[in-house]
Amino acid sequence: MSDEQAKLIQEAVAKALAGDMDMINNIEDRVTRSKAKAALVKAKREAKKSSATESEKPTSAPPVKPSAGDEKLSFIDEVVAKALAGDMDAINNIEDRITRSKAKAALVKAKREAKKAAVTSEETPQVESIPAEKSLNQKVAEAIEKKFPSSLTGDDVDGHIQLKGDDWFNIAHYLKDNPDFLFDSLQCITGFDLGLENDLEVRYNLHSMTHNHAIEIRIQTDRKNPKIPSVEQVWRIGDWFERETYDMYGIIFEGHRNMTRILLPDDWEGWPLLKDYEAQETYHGIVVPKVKEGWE
Amino acid sequence: MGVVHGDLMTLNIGPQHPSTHGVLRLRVKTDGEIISEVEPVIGYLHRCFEKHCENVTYEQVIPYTDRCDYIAAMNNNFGYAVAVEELMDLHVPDRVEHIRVIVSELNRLASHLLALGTFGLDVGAFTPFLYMFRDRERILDLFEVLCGARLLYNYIWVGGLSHDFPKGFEEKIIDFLDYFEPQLDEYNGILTYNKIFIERTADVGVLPAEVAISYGVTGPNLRGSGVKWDLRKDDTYSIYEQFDFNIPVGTGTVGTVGDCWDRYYVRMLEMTESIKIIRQAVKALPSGDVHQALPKKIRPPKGSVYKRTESPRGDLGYYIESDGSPVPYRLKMRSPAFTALSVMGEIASGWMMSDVLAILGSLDIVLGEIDR
Repeated sequence: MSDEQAKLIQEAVAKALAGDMDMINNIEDRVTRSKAKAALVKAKREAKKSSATESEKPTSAPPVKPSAGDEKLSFIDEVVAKALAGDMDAINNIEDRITRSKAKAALVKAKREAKKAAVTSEETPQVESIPAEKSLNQKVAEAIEKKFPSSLTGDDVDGHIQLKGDDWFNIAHYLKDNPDFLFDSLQCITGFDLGLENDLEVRYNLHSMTHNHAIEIRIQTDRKNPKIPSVEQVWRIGDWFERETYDMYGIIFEGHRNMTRILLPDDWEGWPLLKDYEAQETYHGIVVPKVKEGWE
Repeated sequence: MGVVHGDLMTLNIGPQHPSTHGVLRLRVKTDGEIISEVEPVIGYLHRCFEKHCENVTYEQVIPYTDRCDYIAAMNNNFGYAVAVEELMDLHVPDRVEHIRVIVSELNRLASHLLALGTFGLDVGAFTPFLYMFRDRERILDLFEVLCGARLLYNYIWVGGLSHDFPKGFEEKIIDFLDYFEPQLDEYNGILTYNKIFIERTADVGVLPAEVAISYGVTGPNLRGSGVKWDLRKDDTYSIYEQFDFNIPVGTGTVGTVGDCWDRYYVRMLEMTESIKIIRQAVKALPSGDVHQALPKKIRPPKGSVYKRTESPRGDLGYYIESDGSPVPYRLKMRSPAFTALSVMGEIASGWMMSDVLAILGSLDIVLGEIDR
């Protein structure tokens, strides 16, 4: 590209960004014109990106029809504010279906952001004038810390609670029976490989049918000798979930009454979901197919 | 006077047996005709679903989810899409949400028809099975028009759908519902209140609510035990909060709460509710582009999500951990049929041999989802 051409393009793009499209459209050379247009698109995209990161506005006004859009948007903001204050009728009574659904989406977003903000504000409690209500995770973590000192690992209880394995059976009992929590349902046990040099982890998703709340508990265990107390007798579904985790990761759940493989045959070798797993060559004379290199 | 104990006989039901709904083996210990112990042996259909997922991109996981619960593949697609969208913080257009609800409720109808039909078959009622399969076929025909596949749809994608509704599809759905709704009365006449069927299922295999919760039993099986719990209402996702429907629960109409008949009847009532939801969703179907929100590349930010949705069999959960790459670092599927089958050993012992198959049939398991 010649200097002249580059200069022309630059100028045209700048003008177009300022709203004057004529200069770009009047470029005679077709190649230069299309190059200029491409540059314009790029410039616009970058501008959009930077504005999106800068401003925390939930919606930016559409550029095409500013007046009608603005009105609608401010209306939506209004009803969302009302709904957040507890008045859902304002949203439900909107007649136009599209506006209504937009308002609902905005409400969900606003709620989520409020939640996020609440979480972040809890991390720095001095700044907030009104003490934010403790999240469920914090309450649970405090209760565990009080009853079973030094079983928490790490202070960060945002999203999940990290525990030491030693007292897990008693903690599980406590969480199930404590009237404040009543985690009567074990939703899911997920085995986890944190990487070749790292430990294994087991993640428990607990849920309470009474209070309708849920937490996630994570327990790490040594990769070489993975052992975690079994909660099979706390939640009966733990029986099969733990057997599955044992089957896939080789994590032994101490106290489980029937620690055998469940999905794979009893005489299978190795733990398939470990990241460094290599399948055995043959199984009873049957060749075990290998995962192809670079298969994606 | 001592108690006389005979020797226990071990009997294998399956893995190849018509009443096990797939390749399941029940290792049964019997004392005469009384069952003293049942142990399900599973894994015959294990295909390393979770290991596969760690080697394919997020989009490529969807066909695998089809093959887990092949009776209700739409709902499996739906659950996965919702989970990944939550991880990515992605919102889909209103039309997409409506279509998703419509197709997954249609699939719920198809799934319940199969469950009830084969349950009847298990206890010796052959005719209702044919009636229900006839109507299930119509739903599968609808899906064939929609996306070309009858069972494994790959229809609900992350951020959208593979196709929009074809022209005139809404009318086809309504036509089907108009035809189908009166059929429910026919099923009730031919199977639900059939004396022989009631004799075989009422008071049999009672599952108390606490046991069900402790074993993680969910969905119609849990509701059959009288627990009013449905994720579509209690932990609502997608746009289910916009629709008006009830959650039927077991009441012990002809026997005890939580018996096989209750589990059967809850499914029957749920079909009416699904029809209600579909009618509302079709009526409110907005226009729009279903491909608008499809992401070019699915790369969720680092983090994890556990998301449950209500499949016809209960809580279908996906635990997804992302390391920021286009391939899931870890994907765990929490299968509702897996937990439902685990309760088998608890509730089936003490019953007669013939009751074991009735209890198994009433749990409505799909082995593809259990073994993954």
